[in-house]
Parts: sequence; C-alpha cells; structure tokens
Amino acid sequence: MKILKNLFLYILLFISTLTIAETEKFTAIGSITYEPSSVFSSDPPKDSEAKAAKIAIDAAWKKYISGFSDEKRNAYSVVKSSVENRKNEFIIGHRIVDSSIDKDQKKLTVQVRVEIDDSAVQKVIFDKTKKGNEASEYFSWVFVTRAQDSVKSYMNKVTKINKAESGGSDIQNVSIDGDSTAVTSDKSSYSKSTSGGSVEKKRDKVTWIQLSSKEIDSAMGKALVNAGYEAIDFGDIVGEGCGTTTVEEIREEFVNNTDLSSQTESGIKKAAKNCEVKFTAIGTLDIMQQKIDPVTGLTDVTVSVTAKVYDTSKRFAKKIGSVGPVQHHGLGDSEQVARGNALTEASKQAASTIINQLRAR
Amino acid sequence: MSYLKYALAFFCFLPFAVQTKVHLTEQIDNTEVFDVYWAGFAFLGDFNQRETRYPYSSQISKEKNNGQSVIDVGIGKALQDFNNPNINLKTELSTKPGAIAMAVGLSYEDAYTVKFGSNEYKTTYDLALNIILFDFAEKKIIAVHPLRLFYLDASDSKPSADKNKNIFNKLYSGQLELNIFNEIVKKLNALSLRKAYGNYIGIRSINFKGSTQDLIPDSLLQNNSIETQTAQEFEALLSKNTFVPVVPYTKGELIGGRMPARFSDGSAYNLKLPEKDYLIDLDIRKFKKQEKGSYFNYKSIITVRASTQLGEKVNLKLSRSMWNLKSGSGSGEKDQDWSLYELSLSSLLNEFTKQLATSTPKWTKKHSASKDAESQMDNLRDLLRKSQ
Repeated sequence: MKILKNLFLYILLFISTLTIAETEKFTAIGSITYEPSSVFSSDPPKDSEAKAAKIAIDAAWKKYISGFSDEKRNAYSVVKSSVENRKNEFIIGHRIVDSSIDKDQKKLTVQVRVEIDDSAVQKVIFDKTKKGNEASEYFSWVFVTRAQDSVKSYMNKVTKINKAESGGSDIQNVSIDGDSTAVTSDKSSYSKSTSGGSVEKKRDKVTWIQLSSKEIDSAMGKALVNAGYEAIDFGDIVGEGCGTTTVEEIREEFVNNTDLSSQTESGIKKAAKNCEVKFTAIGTLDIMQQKIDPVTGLTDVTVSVTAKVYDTSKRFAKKIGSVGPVQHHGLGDSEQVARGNALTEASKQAASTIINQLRAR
Repeated sequence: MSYLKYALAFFCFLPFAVQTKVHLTEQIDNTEVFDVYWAGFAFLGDFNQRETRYPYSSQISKEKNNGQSVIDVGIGKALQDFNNPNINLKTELSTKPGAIAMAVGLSYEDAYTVKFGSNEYKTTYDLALNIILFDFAEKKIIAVHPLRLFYLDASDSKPSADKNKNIFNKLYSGQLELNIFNEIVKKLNALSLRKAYGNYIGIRSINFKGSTQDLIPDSLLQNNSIETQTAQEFEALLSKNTFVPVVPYTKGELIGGRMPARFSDGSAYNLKLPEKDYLIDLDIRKFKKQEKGSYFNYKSIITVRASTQLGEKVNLKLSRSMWNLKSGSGSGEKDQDWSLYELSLSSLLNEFTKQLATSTPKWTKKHSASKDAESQMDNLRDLLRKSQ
C-alpha cells in the first residue's frame, strides 16, 4: 500500500514538472562577410541576415551553456552532440534586435535575443545519460532538516596590558582586564606608554532541533523519478529487514551531533547494500538564523545544504558525489513561509546537483 | 456667408493636415481576450527606503478602512469602471504557469514648493506610477507602462508636511480634480495586451551636463533625485505618446535587473526586469535665460541618443524656447528660475515624443540643430516600432 502511495505521489510530481517550462533569454551578436547581391549593388544577398542570425544564435547557445554549474556542464558534455543536433527544439524563439551593414568591409552584423527552454534541455540530459539499466537502479536517501534552536555566543575574552612609564620613576601601572587583575598606583604617568594584549575567541555553541524533511524528500523523489531511477524510502529498506538503524534514529543523531558517527553511517550503507540499493545519499539541510531582507522587508531565511552520495552496490561503499555546503535563501511574509521557500529551493538544487553528478561520471 | 467662413477655415487648415504624418499608432490586438490577475498597488524599490521615498503615500497606505488599506479600497472602487475589451480582469491571483498578473507600482513621489512674489507659493504634487504586467509564477516582468501625474496648488504660505499629506490623501480619495485611481483606470482601459511583445526599450542615463547642475536646486541634486525624476517623466511621455511599453529607468533603484515591489496588503515580490535591447541616453546640455522686452526666454538644449549593442543609432540635438512674461517669472531666485527651466524641458520632451508618433516637418526643422534630424527621428521611430 505504501509503495502504491509513493508511486502515485511520484506520478503526480512527474506530471507537475512536465507543465512547467523554465526559459532563459540571451542576447548575442553574429557577423558574416558577404558578396554583394549583384554587380550593380553593394547590398548583401537576401539570406545574409538569416546566416548572421544563425551565428548569433550559436553564440547565445554558448552563453547559455557557460552559465551551467560544474555538475550540469559535466553531465551536458556527455550528451552534447545529441542535444546540439536538435538545438532548434530547445530554442523557443529568437528576435533580431538590430542589424548593421558595413558596405566597405562587406560585413553584416546582427544582434539577436534568443529564448531557450532550459527545463527541456535538463530533461534530455537526464534521459540521455542513463547508463544501461542504471535508470532502473534503486536510489535511497536519508536527509535531516534541522534548525538552529539556540546559539550561545561567547564574548571575546580580551586581555589588555597597559604599561606606563613615568619619568624618573620605577613604578609601573599594570592592569589585566581579562583576569580582573590590577595593580594600581597613585602616581600618574606622563611621558611614554605602550599597549598590547590578546583576544581569545570562543566558537558559538549551537543546538539543533529537528524539522520535517518533506521538502527534500519531495524534491529528491521528483528529481529521481524524472531521471528514471527507482526512488526508495530509507524506511522501506529498514522495513524489509536490511538494516537496524531507523530513519528516526539517524535523524536524531544528526540533531544531537554535528555529524553522524562512523558506525551509523556504515550501518546506512550496509542496509542499502543488503537491499540491493545501488545509490544512497546522506545529507543535512541546516536552517540558519533568519533576518529581515532590507530590499523587500520580508523575512529572509538561509538554508545550508550538505550531502554525500555513495555507490552502495559493492562491499565497500564508494563516495561518488557530494553537495555543498551551499547556501540558499528564501523570502516570505512569515518565518514559516520563508523557511519553506528556502528549503524548497535548496532541495531542488541539491537533488538536481546529485543527479547531474551521477550522470557525469 | 457661413459657407465662405467654413471654406476659408478648411483652406487655412489644409496645409497643416497635409503635412501631418502618422508614424506610430497603438498596436491593438483584438483577436484575443486575456485573463489578467490583479496583484494590487505596490511601492517599488527597497523596503527600507519606503518611508524616505514615499513619505506621504506610505503613511496613507497604513490607514485602514474595514481592515483594508485605504489605497486598496480606493483602487478597488475605481476598478468598478474598468472596461477594457482586451482584458478579462480577475481579482484572485493565479500561480498557473504563464498567468499574467497586473500591478500598479508607485516609483516616485514629491511635493515641491516654489515661492513666487512676496507671498505666493506654488506646490507641485508629483507622482510617477508604473502599470506592470508580469508572469506571476516566474515573477518576470512582461511589459511596463509608465504614468506620470502632477497636481498644482497655490497658497499664500509654504505648505506644511500635514497639508501636503492632506493633499495627497485627497488625490488618492478623489476629492480633487485629479483622482489618482481614476487616472490609473483610464490608463488600464486604454491598455492593449498582446501574445508576444517586441524588443525592450528603456532609458539608460540622464546626464545634466556642466553648468546645468548650477541651476538645479540643491534638494533635487541629492540622491540623484533630478535624474530619476527626469527619466520617469521622459519614459512616461515616451510610453503615452508613442504607444510603447518602456522598461523602467533603474539607477539606484534596482539591483541585478530586479524591481522589488511591496504591496499594500503586505506581500512582496522581487520582479525580474527584461534586459533592455534599445538604450536611450538623454543629455541636458544647457539651460539659457534671455531677456527680450517684457519677456524672459527659458531655453532647454538637449541631445537624445539611442543605441544597441551594435552601436549608436540615434544622435539628435533638440532645443525649445519658452517665453514667459517677466511679471510671471518671479524675482529670479534659483528655485523660481528652475521651475521655468523645468517647464521648458518638459514641454520639449512632450512635443518631441508626440512628434515621434505624428510629425509635422516644421517642428523638427525648428527645434533641431542636426542636419539629418529627420532621419535621426526615423531611426528612433524604427526602434520604437520594434519595441511595440
């Protein structure tokens, strides 16, 4: 029943992603030299503008590619030729912004604005980079979303030493603020003074509380289904008897400690291997302190995402990818809305990075 | 006899009628009715500058009527007269991909007083608004139609901040001849939406050159206020007279091509502006004051330039004289002279933008020193046409 529920959820997520096209616009310039259309005219032949526009569109495409993240560019390099052969399918349209003709140089230059369907390109990257039956491989993950419950900040411990020498006297005034030690003298100094000391910093002590991980679970599920993997809840792996450490215990440990113990991490990998799950991701989404965004006046919440991805198919799990720490911001009328927006964005980006890393291997 | 009068009138006006040439018209697409979702009234710019940029409107927006901002109540009432066959206006926002939302954004507010004679004060209440059409799901701006409103008030003492607020309040609540919301609805009623928009045009820079700076009151030189004010007036005239959406002037207001908009109901979006394809630069080169008989002549001399990434397309030098009776020109104080220079500049920009749409050859010849002025005007018309 649970599997059916998950399947239904993933189908819904898949359908929802199909309806959203994310487009990007780029402006670029293309030039050609031409032979005049006739001996009586210095004008370029009729098809010259289209030829120059094609060069400009290619330049715009290069601009688009150059904006990819490292992972996406690596994944793209695998499918480059097949995508670029169908480039027109991803170009929603182009407009000629301006053109100029240099009749002396017989050169025609055009500036075009090109709109590219990025979501369609991303889908092709996912589809085309499937490795054999890898698309049907199991992929599981354990993420914990934790928020800073309290931050105990320590004031810097400052030790100041003032040494004052007074003319013709052997008396020195010394005060050490940090240790509350003071040696004073009634005699005032007047001629020469030197100062020094030290500052001791102590790291803030942060305690965490655990929050719902539905955003990352949803984003991972959506990205994995779109990329063709079999997304498996880690809870189902434990439910099948492949491991003993429950998702709740793992999350609890993440909240009480900065990182997982090597024993717990090893237990997760072993459980995945036992259930023939090829890929396993473990990570955290840390909700940092909130502030008021000066531009919009809305609450701004920062989420820091970190993850490690392992190939758990063999005896020793091999680390095959990692994310972050990368920070993402979310704005909202309230802390709750801002947090949700930040988590959604962080989850979406983390999931996409993980898939692109897998595909670029 | 009466026929003779009509015939005479006809022949007198015939030469003007013949010389007038229409270059740009409103591009109306009646083939489709668009669903447009009403987003509300917004303050544009950084939230933390709201109180300083809009001291009166921001206070007024906090006043409530049955729990709703008076501004929302006022605009809601005015929208009852909304009647645009091209738009099916919906009051609820939609997050559907591609759904078009419409907002009215305030981008400038000022109450500027100039003293005339010994006991006469003229106050200009100035508001710049933008009607913004944007993709609500992606928060991307599709088109911006600027609107500029002025209200003049004369008094025998310098108006206090309370009086200024009272006037703005009346402008918002429709108690004066000028009603802000009615003007907005008039503009909305005349708006034409299209499936696809052309290229994007906008003002890149406003440059008050050399000695012109000395003639501008100090208060307007602070925070680039004069540049913003002039840019907003110019883009509003350009939009109104040449029927083209204009990407707003951005100096000091927008970071990374984004336009922060805080709505009077508390919601806020960082709207993404389209990149400008055609960039207009306006140089205000000189202001001249000349005396002749019982008149003063206030003259503005400007250069309008337009360019693309491929280079400069338009370079047009223009000027306009404005004759003013000495008795009505004040006593020559900086503030008084400035209000008349400003008027001559406004008149020049207004006439120039009208000429771009419908030209009378004599105007260009009279107001431009450039030999190829007509072809420069045509070049600019070409860019405007591609931006419609």
